[in-house]
Amino acid sequence: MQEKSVQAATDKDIAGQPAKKAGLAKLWKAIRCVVFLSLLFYLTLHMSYVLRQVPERNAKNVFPGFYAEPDNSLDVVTLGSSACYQYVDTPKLYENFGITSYNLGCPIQSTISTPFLMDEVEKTQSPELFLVEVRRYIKGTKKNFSKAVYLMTDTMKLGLNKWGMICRAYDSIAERVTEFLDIYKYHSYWSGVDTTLFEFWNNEKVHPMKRWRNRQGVHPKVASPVVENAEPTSLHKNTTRELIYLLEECRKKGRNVLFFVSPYPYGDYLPGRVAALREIIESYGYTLLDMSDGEAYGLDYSTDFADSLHVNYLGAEKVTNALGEYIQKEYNIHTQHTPEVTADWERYVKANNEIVEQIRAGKVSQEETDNL
Amino acid sequence: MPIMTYNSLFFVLFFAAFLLIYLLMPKSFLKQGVILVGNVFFYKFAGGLNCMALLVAASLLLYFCSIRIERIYEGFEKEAEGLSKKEQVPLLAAYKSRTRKWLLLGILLLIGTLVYVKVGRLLHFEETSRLLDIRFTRIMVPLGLSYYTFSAVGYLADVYWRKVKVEHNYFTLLTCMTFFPIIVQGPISHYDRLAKQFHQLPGFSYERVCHGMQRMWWGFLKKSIIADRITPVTSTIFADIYHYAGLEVVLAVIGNVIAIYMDFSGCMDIVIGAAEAMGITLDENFRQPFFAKSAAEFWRRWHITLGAWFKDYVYMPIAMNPGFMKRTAAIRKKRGARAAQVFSAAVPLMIVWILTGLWHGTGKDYLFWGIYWGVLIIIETAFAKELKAVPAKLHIRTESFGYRLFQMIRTCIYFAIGRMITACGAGRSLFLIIGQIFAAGRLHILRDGGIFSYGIDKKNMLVLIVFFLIVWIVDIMSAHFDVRDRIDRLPFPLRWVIYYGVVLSVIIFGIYGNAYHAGAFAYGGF
Repeated sequence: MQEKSVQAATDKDIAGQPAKKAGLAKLWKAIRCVVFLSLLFYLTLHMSYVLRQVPERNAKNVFPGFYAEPDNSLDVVTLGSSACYQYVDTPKLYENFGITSYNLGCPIQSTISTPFLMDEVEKTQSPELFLVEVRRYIKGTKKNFSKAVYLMTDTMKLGLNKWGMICRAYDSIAERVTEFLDIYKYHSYWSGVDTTLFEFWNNEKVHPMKRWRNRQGVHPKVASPVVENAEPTSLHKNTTRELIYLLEECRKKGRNVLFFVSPYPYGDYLPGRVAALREIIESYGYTLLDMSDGEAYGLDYSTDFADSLHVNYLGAEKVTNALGEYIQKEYNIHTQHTPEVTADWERYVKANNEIVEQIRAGKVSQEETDNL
Repeated sequence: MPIMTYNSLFFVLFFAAFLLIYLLMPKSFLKQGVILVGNVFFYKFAGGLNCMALLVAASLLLYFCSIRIERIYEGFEKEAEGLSKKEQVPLLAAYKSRTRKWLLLGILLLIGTLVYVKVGRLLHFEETSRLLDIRFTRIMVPLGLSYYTFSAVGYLADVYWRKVKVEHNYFTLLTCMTFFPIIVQGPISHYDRLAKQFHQLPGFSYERVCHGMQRMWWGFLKKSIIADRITPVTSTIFADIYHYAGLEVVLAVIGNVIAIYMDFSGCMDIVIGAAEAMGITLDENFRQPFFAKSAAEFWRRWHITLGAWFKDYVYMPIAMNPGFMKRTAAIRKKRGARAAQVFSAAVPLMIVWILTGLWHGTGKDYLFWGIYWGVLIIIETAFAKELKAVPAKLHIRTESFGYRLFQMIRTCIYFAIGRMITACGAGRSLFLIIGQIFAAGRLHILRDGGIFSYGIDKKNMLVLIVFFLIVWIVDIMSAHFDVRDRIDRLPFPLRWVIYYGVVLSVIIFGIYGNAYHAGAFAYGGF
């Protein structure tokens, strides 16, 4: 009897062992499979960060520079089109007001992107204020003006914000997938990859000017006449829709946002559209700072413009000072930063002042400062 | 340009999602349902649902005709009960003539649609109808119509010959016939072989999925790294052949041969791999064709399923036709055995090759192409004895490596000439190309770097050469052993290096995406 039960137990062990082994083998295969795919995803993603830097290196460095900023170190983040990084002089804003900021702007930045960019910013930063330059809201943006979207999405890290922005900009699934997995667009630049580009492996690389562009040169302009109490005129329907979406999102998420109109010699259409914008923005409890009358902020149109649409470094300093004063008065930003962050910003201000000195002395060209 | 092609990112994502859902299905009929939904989805993005509608209608016709044929044969079975075999013969003949009507109806409608589309393309019906705004004459060109038609005709003929069981489940028939991996470029599948698998779709197998994926990525590598790098260059040269000469044209011809092989066999690797991951075995379409030692052997290694289809459904019915056999016997009596042998080989072969040519394309070029291959193969078949005697007379050892190499190069040249016949599409393409080859030497392109000015720069040329050599070496190895089996036996870190190497090479060096509009597969237009 005892022999029988011993035999049965042994049989059970023998039968159980292969089953257990097979189970373990299956588990091992599953683990290997997951590891294999994860590693493949990691390699592909990071290769895409490198490859996307090959064309238009400067325009592509918007997000890597932002991601490289230490977490929770920025007081203000500015969004908007080319005006944003040519009007908001980030070193001056820190030097004169102690405000740390980053210009997360790109040429013709689409109005579609603003709420998604804010979400992306809040992944690593807790800015006390978002500064939104509204030139694109005034002019209007076509929905499918792809460059206005891809200049931002192409350097964003993979995630829901990127996908959301793309989905709002593109209708076809093929376009969405292509834009989202941007290695699809950039892999063909493999022959242009050099070792320096591997600095972008994590899509994080300190932007030496924190996305500030010192514009040189003088393009004399004449200020447009100031129109008091203009009647609101209609905005582009896409713009209105995007603006309302942005305002609702901001209100829902309790964000501080200051909208501002940067000064430049505008056309007759501007006062009416600014009035329309103000009406919408103020209805959500936010402020629109209208700086279109540049002379009121000390701008000299004969010396302070670099081209017909943007101020030079002299004009930018004046605009930034006016903005800084307004921000300090209305939002009272006095964040305590870590010694490392403070030291970094001190270094940055010093470096920028040296560059400005060189510009004044005519020792450095626009191209050289752009390629820093 | 459809967004769903086998080498598109969209297909990779679609297939990944499809496979996941498919493998999660616990029962065979559920898997079949997933395949049918997959087919519809594939059609939606690859050719439009209109095309699917036509194939659904054609499947209904096929279903109806096959059921009718079966019913007639059932009548015969009943009536033949108790009769001797001898008595059954005339009865069967009577019933067969009744089934023939349904067979002919099915074949005429199926082939008729194909001919209408092919001839319509030739006659530019679409442009004509657009000008006249006569909507009903517009041609709806369904995706993979040729492959579908051939499979359907094969199935109907097999039902008529009572070789296969009739499919009573319309949805299985539809799912098989529109099976998305094979619909664009084949392989042309025998219905019964496919249907047997569809009735018992297997469960998940790690090894099978792995093997399927390996094969798919190997196909992507061939297509996107090699074929798509060469095709735009050779197309440019052949489109403007008068501007090129000598070495330029020779390189374009060689490039064209490499590109078509990489393109077509790459696609086959993708579709066979996709089916393998699903647990479905498809017929192989390639077996190292450039290692073939004769033209006939080449076509037993290149587009194997097309050759097999023509053999089963054109060559054999002609060769075994009582009228044709009588005619051969008469020639034997009149002119001797040798003449009868030549006649019996030449007639069906020439018909097969003319049809093969017309299948590849409509126009003089393709007719000439079919005749060219027909003549080559007829010479090899009918004069096999005489040809075999030549090396012995010249004291050449036929087993030597040198002779085998000569035979392989000769086959490559046969194929290259075939490609030249249709390359320019000008009706006299072959003579144009040969003329341009001898018009000038242009050897200087090797010295002055001119060779890199045709669209493939130095870095891309290096990539091309490296990957061509890799594929070539793997092809040689495949002729001797199962490469995938060897890879399976490697320690997994080494295996992973190979897998990552292939996948990342395709992702980085592949020609696809916005910067380059990937061309459709060369055999996708049929």
